[in-house]
Amino acid sequence: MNKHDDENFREISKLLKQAMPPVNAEPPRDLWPAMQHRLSEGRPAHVPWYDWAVAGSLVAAVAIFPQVLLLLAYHL
Amino acid sequence: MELLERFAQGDDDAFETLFRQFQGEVYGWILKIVREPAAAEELTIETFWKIYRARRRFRPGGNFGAWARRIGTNAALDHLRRRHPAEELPENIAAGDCADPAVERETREEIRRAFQRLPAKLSAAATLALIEERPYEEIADALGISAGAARLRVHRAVRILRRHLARLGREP
Repeated sequence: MNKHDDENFREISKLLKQAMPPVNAEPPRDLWPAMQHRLSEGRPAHVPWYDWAVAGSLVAAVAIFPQVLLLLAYHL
Repeated sequence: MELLERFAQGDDDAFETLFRQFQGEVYGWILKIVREPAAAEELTIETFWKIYRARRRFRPGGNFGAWARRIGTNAALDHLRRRHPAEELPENIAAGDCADPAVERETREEIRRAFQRLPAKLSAAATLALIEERPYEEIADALGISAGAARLRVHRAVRILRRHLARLGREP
């Protein structure tokens, strides 16, 4: 980088600062509530314990009484 | 246990503490690159979401601020690419009389437009170096390149802008 380049940089820098002044700002509000919202969207959906209980009962019923499968297939 | 260690192990309270501690710094850095407060807010959230997902890869001995800034820079670059796809500068722009304030305003507007048309990589490096006057080492670290490469990007941006200014009749 030579002296001529440095002068160019300074001149362009001056023009750019006139067109787009430097910014130095803090967020206008606390972003944590928005972050919490984003986190809850991204996490896998919470499955309540009773859904697990129903699913477990069904699996157990099919294992013990395989003919239940036909009944289930009929209703689904 | 140290805060960064707890964060790396997936502690949500540690993440919240780090978020509150660094949100201002990350937002300010992203704003310098994208220059739109609403987009900077959105990108700050996006950056911390990426940080949250990558927390197990973070080495507790590392510099959290620098890591966050690098992730934020990548998010800002993606935003610039989506917003301003690189395109040719318009030809035959009339030269203006720079003594006229209205023409000065027009020239500033042209410079701003020309700057926004720069490829994202060049515009980010040039904003940080020429407008915000950040040190090259800091810019290089955020962009994940060497200081020499950062300087080269600024040099290329200056060359493009000079060409554009020459078309406007301004020879810096």
